[in-house]
Amino acid sequence: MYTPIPHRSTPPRPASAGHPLRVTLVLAVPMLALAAALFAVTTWLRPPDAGRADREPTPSVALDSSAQNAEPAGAPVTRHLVSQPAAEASTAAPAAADATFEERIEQLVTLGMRTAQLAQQDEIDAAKASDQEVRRLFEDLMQRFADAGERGLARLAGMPDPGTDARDAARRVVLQLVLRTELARRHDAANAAADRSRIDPLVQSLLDVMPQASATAEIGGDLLANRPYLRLVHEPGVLALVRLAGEQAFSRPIATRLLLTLWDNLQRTGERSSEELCQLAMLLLADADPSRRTAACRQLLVDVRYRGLVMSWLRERNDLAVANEVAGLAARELPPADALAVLRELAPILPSAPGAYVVLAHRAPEVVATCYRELLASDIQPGMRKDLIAGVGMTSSALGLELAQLALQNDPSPDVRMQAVFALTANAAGEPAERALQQVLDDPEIAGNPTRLDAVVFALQNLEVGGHTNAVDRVGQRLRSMSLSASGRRELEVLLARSLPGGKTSLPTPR
Amino acid sequence: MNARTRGCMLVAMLGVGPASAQCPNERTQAVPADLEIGAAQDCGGFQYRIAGVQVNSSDGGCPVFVIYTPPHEIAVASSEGTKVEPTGAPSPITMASFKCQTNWFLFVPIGSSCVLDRVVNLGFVPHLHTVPCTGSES
Repeated sequence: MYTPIPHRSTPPRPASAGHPLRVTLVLAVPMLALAAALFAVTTWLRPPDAGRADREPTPSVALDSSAQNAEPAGAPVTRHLVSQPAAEASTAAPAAADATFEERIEQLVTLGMRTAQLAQQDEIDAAKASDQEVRRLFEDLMQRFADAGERGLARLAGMPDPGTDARDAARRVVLQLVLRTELARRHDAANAAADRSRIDPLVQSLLDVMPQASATAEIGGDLLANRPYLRLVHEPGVLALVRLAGEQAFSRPIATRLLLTLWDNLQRTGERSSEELCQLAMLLLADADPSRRTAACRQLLVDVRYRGLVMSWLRERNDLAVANEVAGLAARELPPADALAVLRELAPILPSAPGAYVVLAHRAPEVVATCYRELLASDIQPGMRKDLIAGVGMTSSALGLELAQLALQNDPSPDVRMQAVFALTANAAGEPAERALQQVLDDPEIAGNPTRLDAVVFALQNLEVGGHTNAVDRVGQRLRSMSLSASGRRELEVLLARSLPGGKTSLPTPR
Repeated sequence: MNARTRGCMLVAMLGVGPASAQCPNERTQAVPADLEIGAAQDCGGFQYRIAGVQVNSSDGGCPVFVIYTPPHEIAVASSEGTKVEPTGAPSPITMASFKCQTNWFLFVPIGSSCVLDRVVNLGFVPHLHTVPCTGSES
């Protein structure tokens, strides 16, 4: 299940962290209004000066070295670009009809940040008006510059790695938006005219600059992964990134995502048949490179003809890291019934895969619930029953709570009952959650097993997260009198110290 | 704890006592840490149509959850006259949920952010070690 594919590499900020791009533009407000008014007059009274864009030379983003020879992420980028766009433009310049690409980008950055600031200050009408202006300016930019993608990429490649500068961050967002829009419109045009001569080179340039810095790597990954742009002509570029990842010189998750996307696109467009890809996958299955192996496993798993081959290869290899990865792939990508079958087949080598079951249950809770009911009725595969309850129980749904209660009251396996308690303490209201905890403390197969009893403390932590302090008090008090291990007792005391004044329960611990 | 419960517990504990001693022929196998990332939720981002082209924010948005399973051990068959025993306390499997905090009307999606909602324990994994079976366990 190892799936190191963060959708966004920036760690999530806590809710209280506030907006990342706080700017103070008190003095700029009247100037911006004036600039906007001037711009509106000059723009609306004159037809677009498309010739201006034509006169500006398109910056080359060709590299003086291939991606294979590129430096690792974070390395200086100065030697890579043959030419750079013009120096940074004035940030407050109006977007006059003859404004350069650079000037327009800077104005979008300024207005975008201002929109965010107005929104934060609850000046909704002003923010909406500013937002409309940003949209209009952006559309104008894209219409005037047929080579906006190359220009944006050149500008992006010349930027330093992400730092703390809010304006740099906003500029990156704008440039990424330019590239995303450019790729989309060229893709549409390529499909309409059956001519990929404009989109393929841009995609190749993007692949080429990706290793230059972590920012370009992330933006490139974001723009190309799970998108239809990568084609057969880009295979060497993608494999070059995979190779760099093998040398720890490029992000492994991004390389894997791009390889998976490439294979998807090749199959969908018919550039490589399913048969050919499966043959390639079989060759790559034993590859030491994790990206190639992941792509191979996925390709073979989704084809029912080859699924058995992957499973027997896994059993023979008995590599739990790969088995985890395959479980995750199956849970995410196979039809739910097929995913369940794969997870069941994996059980002999991977007895527990709760993460995969949670992913699957979020996709198809009923399928997971039905499977649990069937296994419970037959009283077979308690390990899988435990994972099924982990999956459906964590969906925070009525069905999840119903199944957790069913398991707690009826499942013969203490591990499944314990799993039900985790689901209930994480998702049920305080009263049923506390009742579940009290029930398992009365359960000799749980209270009498040191490992399971220690785990009850983890379940009690869920009540703390839910803010059920009185329940923590009552259950904690009872747990104190039980035979926890030394580390389990420490864990409990830390929890009680966090939740209760002075860590003291309302009644003294019975002796 | 009432008398009946105590009695049940005693029976349960006795049930795994010396009377049933037989070497299970097991050893531990290490399971590496696992990170499972849930599907992405739409963080607001933007949807925009320009010159007939629909542009959407990236698919890679804010994950609904991230599940971390710490490294641990499982028992697997062995022919070396060994068994597995718990060593120390188990470790929790944690599930962090995320939600989108969005400034909904921004064209440039700098107003949306993926924020941590809560972290709960989803389950637990044991820590085991391999020990030789004793003479009475054959």
